[in-house]
This record gives sequence, structure tokens and C-alpha cells, in this order.
Amino acid sequence: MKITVEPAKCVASGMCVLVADSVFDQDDATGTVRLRVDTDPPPEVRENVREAARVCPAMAISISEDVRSA
Amino acid sequence: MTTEETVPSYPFTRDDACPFAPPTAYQRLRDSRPITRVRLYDGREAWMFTRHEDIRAVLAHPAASAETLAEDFPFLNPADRVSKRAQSFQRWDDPRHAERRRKLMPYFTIKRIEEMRPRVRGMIDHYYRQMIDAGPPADLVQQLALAVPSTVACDLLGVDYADHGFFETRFAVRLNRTSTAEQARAANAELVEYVDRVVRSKYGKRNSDLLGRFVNDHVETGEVSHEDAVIDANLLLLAGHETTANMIALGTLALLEHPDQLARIQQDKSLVPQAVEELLRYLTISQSMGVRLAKDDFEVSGCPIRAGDGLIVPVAAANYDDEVFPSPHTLDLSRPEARRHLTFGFGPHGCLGQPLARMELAEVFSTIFDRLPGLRADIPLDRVDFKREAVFYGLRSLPVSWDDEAARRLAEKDRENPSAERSRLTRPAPASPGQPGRPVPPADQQGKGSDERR
Repeated sequence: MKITVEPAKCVASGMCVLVADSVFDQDDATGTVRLRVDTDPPPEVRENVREAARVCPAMAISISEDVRSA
Repeated sequence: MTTEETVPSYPFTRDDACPFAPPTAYQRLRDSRPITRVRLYDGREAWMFTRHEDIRAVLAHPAASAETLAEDFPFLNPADRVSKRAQSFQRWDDPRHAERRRKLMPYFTIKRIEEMRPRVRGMIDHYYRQMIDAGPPADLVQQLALAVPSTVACDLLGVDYADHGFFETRFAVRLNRTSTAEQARAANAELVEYVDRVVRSKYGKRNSDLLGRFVNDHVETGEVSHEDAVIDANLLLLAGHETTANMIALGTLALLEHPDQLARIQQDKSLVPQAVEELLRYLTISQSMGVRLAKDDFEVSGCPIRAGDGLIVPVAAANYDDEVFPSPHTLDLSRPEARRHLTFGFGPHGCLGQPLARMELAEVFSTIFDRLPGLRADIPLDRVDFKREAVFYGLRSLPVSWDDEAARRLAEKDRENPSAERSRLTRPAPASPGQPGRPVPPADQQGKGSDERR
């Protein structure tokens, strides 16, 4: 799983951090999204990462699923 | 496409069957013609969308404009026309909207909100103690639901809570669909004058509150005009109290009306954040969000939209779309898809204060039924004073009682023998750097400088 974020689109809803705080973080100075992990997060948080992408009101999170690591 | 007679008038009225659910007309339209024409109060027509997917698509579309000064922008009533013409950044499109919003985003990160949590707990606790000391009955709206977010907003922004009666009553006029344009204009003028004084008081000194820091960092530097700062401050004050207040009052009533669901959060407090999402969906307090104007041609689910078309995108309709939320009329506090609600909007204009609202709501709903054991409404549901005509749905008042003895006993035990956990939770947070610890406003300030509420 490869995670990409677009801080320029981020509206700081905080949903990604609430859903998966081991993967998503916010920059203190700008409030915009920042990744803690961008590749293959632990399997138990992957569904939460997908959920974060689904509910992001700015659609600033994209995920590409890799068959090998899925 | 549709004949004159079949074009429904918008906004729809709520049904009497369930006081919590949005108008069922949304559902009927979603099933028959999910993208339809509606007629607005001034006779003009607009597109209305009722599917979750389409509403998301419109709200996120760059051609869906929020600029209310545009000649063709659709309004829902005369008061709406007046209050939405106030040019806060909320009424701008990107990129200038994003540029202003970004100056405020750092104040609402999850980390900043978490830092506020203990302080908010202390404020909520203060109002519980006041209610318990006075004993039942009480008006839940005035004594808790409105008091908590209003106090939190004042504390965050740097507004004197002693003035809450003044600004709450003016906002109530602005937010009433039945207010005339003249009434809305007068209320707004008073608010602008008031907030102008607040903003002026921040000049020439280092501030630690949000408005003060905004003045120091962006107004005194000449980046943002004083007039813009006043209008934005007005928006933050409104958004910071009225919305959460309605959610607390209505949410408490909804939980009391669903004792099986209430029992679930009482048994497992870790369910509360998810319960908050479901309550946000189920209650969708915004009765008139969102409205946009197409500034270019585009397509939504195959329907061609033309530049100049009005776009009505009711988030309440999205939140009851059974393609996304099976059995939408059921309050299910562990609903797995609850977070997909659009109560805070969607796209670039999504609610800026949503992390704060979530935190305040979770704090209230995880404590209120413990601190006020046996909490109950003193009147039957059909006599509750719902704000049917307000921009934000909610309750005008809710007379409640609770088990007086048990509440006092618990409060006393808490006072005498606070467990380490309890005292940690209720002590006001250490002030942020440079901020002198500001105590929770005493009860006797309530009403000072205020008018009677409507």
C-alpha cells in the first residue's frame, strides 16, 4: 500500500488523524496533512487508512494498493 | 423536463412524524428524480441534488461557487440574502478563500484541540456543578447546551463571555428563516459593531487568544484589512457556539428518546466518538446547507449544469441516502459508515471548527448522564420547542430534571475526594504560553449586558 497526500488541498478537517494517527499527522505551522508512514503501514491500520481517504473532505489522500503487500 | 406544477418549492418543511429526521421529501425525490428543479422563495428555479454522491461531487467541484455577491447566487429567504452577503472568507472561492482559511487552520489541528480538552472539561464541569447546586428542574439549553460552546468559543477567540446574551440573541435573529430582511440587517449591524470593538481591543499588544493573534499576525502587518478581520471574527463567533449548542441539546434529547442506544455509550465510553458521528448524521442540524452557484458549465451524474444555475445541495439529504447509510432513520451509535456524513460540509468549505465541535460533543455526551443521573425531559416529545424555522435546527428550551440526591452525592464525593484521574480531568488546562490562566466565567455574569432571548 502506497499513500500519497496533497497538503495544498488539505482543509485541516483532522479526520485522517482521528481515524489513523499512526499514519497521518498535521504540520503545526500550517495545520495541513503530513505522513508519518507512506508505504505499507501495518496490516491492522490499513482499513483505517482507506477510511481516512474515503472521508477526507478535501479528497487530499490517495492510496494505491499493491497486490504483493495487500 | 418538468412542468410548472411539479416543481417543488424549497426549502421543504419538516414532517411531524419524527422530530429528528429531515423532511421526507428528500427521500421521495431521491427515489424518483434525484437531480431535480426546485422553486425558491423569489420565484427563481435551481437544481437540487438528493444523492450523497452527487452532493459530494457538487460541493467539491471547482465550478460550484460560494460567492454570494454574484448576481445569480440563489438565496433561500430574505434573511438568508442579507446574512450571506456578509463577505467572510466563507463566501469566497479559492484561491482567495484558501489563502484566508489557511491563516486559521493551525488553530484547529487535532493537537491544538487536544490541548484544549482539559480546559473544556473544566468548563463543562462548572456548568454541571451550577445545575446540581441549584437543583432540578433546569433548562438544558440555557444552562448547559448553549453555555458550554459559547464559553469555549469566547475563551478560544478572546471575547468576553459576559456579552453572551447580547451576541446570542442577535445571531438568533440572523439565523431565523422567518426574520425579515430588515430584522436580519439590524441584528447584523449590531453584531458587526460589537465585533468591531472586540477586534479593536486587540491592537497594540501581544495577544494569546485566536482573534488577538490573528490581529497581531495578519492585521497589524497590513496583510488583512480591519474590516475583513471583523467579518471573519463574526463568522467564527457564530460558528463556534450556535452549531454545537444545537447538537448538545438535540443530541441529549435524541439519546433520552433512544434508551437502548444511550445504554450502549453508558456501558462503553470508548464508543462515544463514533456515537458523535452518528448523532451528527442522524440530526443534521443544518437545515439550509449547502447552496452554490455554477460559475461554469459542468456535469453531475450526466445532468448538464449551465453557468448561472443555482445549486441546492442539502447535506441532510445526503445523510439519509440509504445507498450509503442503510436504514437511515435508525439511530445506530455504532453505525460503521457514520463518518461519511456531510454534516460539516464537503470540499474546500468543509467546517473549519469540526475538530473542536467533535471534542466538545464527545466531552458532553460522555459525562452528562453520569453527572446528572436519571436525567429526563420534563415534557413529552410533542411539546418540545423545536427550532423548525432556524438555519440550524435545535431546541429553544428543554426543561429537564434528574435525581437530585444522587447528583449531589456524586458531586460532593467528587469535591471531597477527587481521585487522581478525576482531578486531572477537571482541572483547567495550563494556559498556553504567555496566556494568563483565565478562569471559567462565574455564573453571576450571565445576563450582564444581555437582552431577553426570543
